[in-house]
Amino acid sequence: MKRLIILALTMVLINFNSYSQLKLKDMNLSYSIKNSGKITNNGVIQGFYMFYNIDKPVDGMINCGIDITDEEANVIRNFEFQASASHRLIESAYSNNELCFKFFDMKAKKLYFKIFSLEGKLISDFEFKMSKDEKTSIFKYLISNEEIKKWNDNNEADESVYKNTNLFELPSGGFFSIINCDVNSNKSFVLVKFNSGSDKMETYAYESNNRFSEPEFIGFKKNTALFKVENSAGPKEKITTNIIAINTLSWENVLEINGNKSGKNTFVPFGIVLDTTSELLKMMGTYYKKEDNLLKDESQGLAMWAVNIDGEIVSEKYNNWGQDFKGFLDFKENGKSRDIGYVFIHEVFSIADGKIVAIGEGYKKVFGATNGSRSSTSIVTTDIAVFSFDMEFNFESGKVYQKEKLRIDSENDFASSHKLAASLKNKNLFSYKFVQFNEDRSQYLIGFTSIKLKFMTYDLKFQYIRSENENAKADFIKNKYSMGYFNTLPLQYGKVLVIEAPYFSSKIDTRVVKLK
Amino acid sequence: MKTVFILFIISYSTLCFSQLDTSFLPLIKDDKKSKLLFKESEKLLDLDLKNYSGNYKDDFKRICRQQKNQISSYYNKIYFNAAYETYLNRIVNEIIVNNPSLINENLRVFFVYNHVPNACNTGEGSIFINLGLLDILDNESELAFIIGHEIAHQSQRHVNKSISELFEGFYSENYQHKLAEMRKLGLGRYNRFKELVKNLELDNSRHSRSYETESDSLAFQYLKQTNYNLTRAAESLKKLKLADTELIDMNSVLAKTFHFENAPFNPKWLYKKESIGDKYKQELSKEVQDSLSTHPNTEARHQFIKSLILLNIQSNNDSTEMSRDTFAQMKKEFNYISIQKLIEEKEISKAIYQILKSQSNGDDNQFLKIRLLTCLQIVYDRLNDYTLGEYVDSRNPYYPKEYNKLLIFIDNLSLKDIESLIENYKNNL
Repeated sequence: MKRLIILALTMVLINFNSYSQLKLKDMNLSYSIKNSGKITNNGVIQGFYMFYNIDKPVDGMINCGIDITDEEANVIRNFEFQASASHRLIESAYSNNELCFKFFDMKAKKLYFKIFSLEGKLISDFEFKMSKDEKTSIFKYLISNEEIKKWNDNNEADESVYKNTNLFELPSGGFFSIINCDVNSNKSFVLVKFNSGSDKMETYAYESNNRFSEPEFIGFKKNTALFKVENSAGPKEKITTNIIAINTLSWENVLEINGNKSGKNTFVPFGIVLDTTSELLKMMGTYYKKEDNLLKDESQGLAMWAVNIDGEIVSEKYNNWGQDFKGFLDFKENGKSRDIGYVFIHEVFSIADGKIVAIGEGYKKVFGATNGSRSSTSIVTTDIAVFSFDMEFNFESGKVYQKEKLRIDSENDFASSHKLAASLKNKNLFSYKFVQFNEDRSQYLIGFTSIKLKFMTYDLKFQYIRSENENAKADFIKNKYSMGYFNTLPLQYGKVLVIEAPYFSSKIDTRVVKLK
Repeated sequence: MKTVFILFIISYSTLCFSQLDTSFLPLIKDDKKSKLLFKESEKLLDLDLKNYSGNYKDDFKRICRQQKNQISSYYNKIYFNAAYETYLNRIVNEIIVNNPSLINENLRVFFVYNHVPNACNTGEGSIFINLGLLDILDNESELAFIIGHEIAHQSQRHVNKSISELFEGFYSENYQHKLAEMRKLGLGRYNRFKELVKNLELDNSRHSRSYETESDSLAFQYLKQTNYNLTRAAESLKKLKLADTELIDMNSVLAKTFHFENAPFNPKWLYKKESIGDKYKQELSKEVQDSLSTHPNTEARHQFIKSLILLNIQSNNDSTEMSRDTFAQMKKEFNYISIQKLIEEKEISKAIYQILKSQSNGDDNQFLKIRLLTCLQIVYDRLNDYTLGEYVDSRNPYYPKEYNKLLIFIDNLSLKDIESLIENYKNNL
């Protein structure tokens, strides 16, 4: 998919007249497009970048360029600079009239950040200093994990197409980044903070007794950044969850609580409740039984915790699938809905009026006849379910949005349903794609796809649910080519970039579509 | 075919202005005639290629091919109207008859469907006047000056000279030497090369500016021999300059047009979201901006012509001009035709812009109102089937400011809003 975005943007961005081409040809100058991505601010897409190398490398260095588009894909600026020929652009973010790009030099194994000013001038260049071991560790991590997968153009399973995963803007200005690396011989992470006004890079290293610690940024509460950290002793071991809070001004860890702290359940946060009236950190997410393994077991329902700055849980609320969603989805005691199967929660967020919304997708494990050595088990994703809660996280209403049932072969007959669902999530095979918010966060739009396979062809729809005045509207855009590529990327609220290409053709259609 | 064409001309020429109020406005196209006319141009270009004795034949051949495509696209856009063709030819004849040096020029002048106020000469004798040009002109003397300017481009072979200069510049010993030097450079060659290209392009644009001044000067000389009013003629340059200035306060026009007693205008429709495009867009230097302009250096050119007028005793005799009413009729009709053509070509946001601009200039004709309603209906239908992007431009930091305001307005409308606007606008017709 990346390749298609790159190609699509190439058509938009490279625009030489024939005479310039004549001259370029004469000089034997070449442009090699490396990758493209989005520029976000506060989770909202502000534009796109396209990164390319110009001419041939000389002594390991190369001229390179970044073309910037605005949110409507109009090319607005171009930066050019010289860098190592083996560098890669990983992610970008926008804050307070500055653009930050995160690079990794594959050969020198250097990780660095460049901040460009409004005028397109390079104003800061930070290198994340590492020891030799750390360099190797980060390199290995990047090769084996999500960041560098962006370089594998055919990789469809890349959630970062929809949202940033490791570079973010700070509320007080500047940027921070998550760097997965070894800390005290454990696979942990470092958080780095930097801004153009200082040449110092502040770091916070997460020290843990666990062999593996995987962080995920979940949001800000004023100047506090919250992270969910999944800890385990090994790749197949039980996962536990910690919540850490970093003061973005002092860059210190001010809070760390275990997801098991309540005693009965394990809480896994997804997001922060927007509540300016309270100093409490209100988080919502899913929960499991205390003894459950997050990797294998089904969630018990949806939960909200309110935590004070001392790390004490001031209030906790649990909505159990089997007991608290009466009249919706016909849940059994084991948390499985008779209508749509188990519910995999993709997002939990709050909107401007304090109400909380959860987006789930149904899935079922289906057994079939044995087929030689191949697995006979499939997982079927069913419909999209949207849950609405009041400010106290009491369930108010729910609605199911139907889509085509998608059957995906399982790799393992004996894996639990939830483990299969987690695998679908990792491979981005669920139908849910993204959620967009309007500026004051009073409205949201949920995007998902629906695919109907036919003999040799398929019908693919991009479906969306738009909340307006408490009445959600749903509609869809259908693919133009029954044999071809179709993808929809989020732009700003109410708009998407549709990319379509028929198979066996170099023709690519890209268009900005305003949703109804 | 000939009979059909004659009937066609008769039927159209009888279409009087008052009929424009509510009737459908037919857009006249004659593909066969366009093709025949283009063939004549093609022959002339082939002859140019055959007679080319320079050192860059292959490049010249390639450029000729590009020229053919461009000229063909102009011929496909000709607005055929016998009465107006006669009118144009009368102006051309007036200039030629009074300037014997032009008698052997193989000139062919046409109106073409294009709402942008401009005209062009393609080098082989064809001159194309955009319908939109009439929008900014006020009398025949002004139009005659523009035609004279294009005739001067043709008589001085400016198109061919530009091509030759391009080759000469590019293949010059100096440039080739610099290229050879640059190839030897390492990492720095890209930046040096960019600088060289920029200079070459600016050189080129300087040449083209000198051609503009030369053509103005010659147009002045041509018109001096006629009875056209020179002072008025020179005003056309001032108006070209103004054509690049938006004389519309879009937000007030929108607020006035779409305010109804039972459905007041919603100020939220004008709300402009912050965009990195506005902050980050590359500001071009004045020189580069001017070189990209469709009407380069008009201020200086206007001053230059004014100084020529001061040096010459000129007549204020308007006897050459045909009826003022005919010009006014043509001016208004062309505006409507341009709007109709924009709608036909799916350029709905541009059509709305033209309509609102005309209305803000006091044109209250029913034709404009009906077409505005048509445009709103198209916006509604296309938003409904997700193809709006093919009909309406999206906001772009490089577009004119007031046009962007219109695009923001359209972007902020929901289906329900458009439905309500259509309903209310219809009721208030």
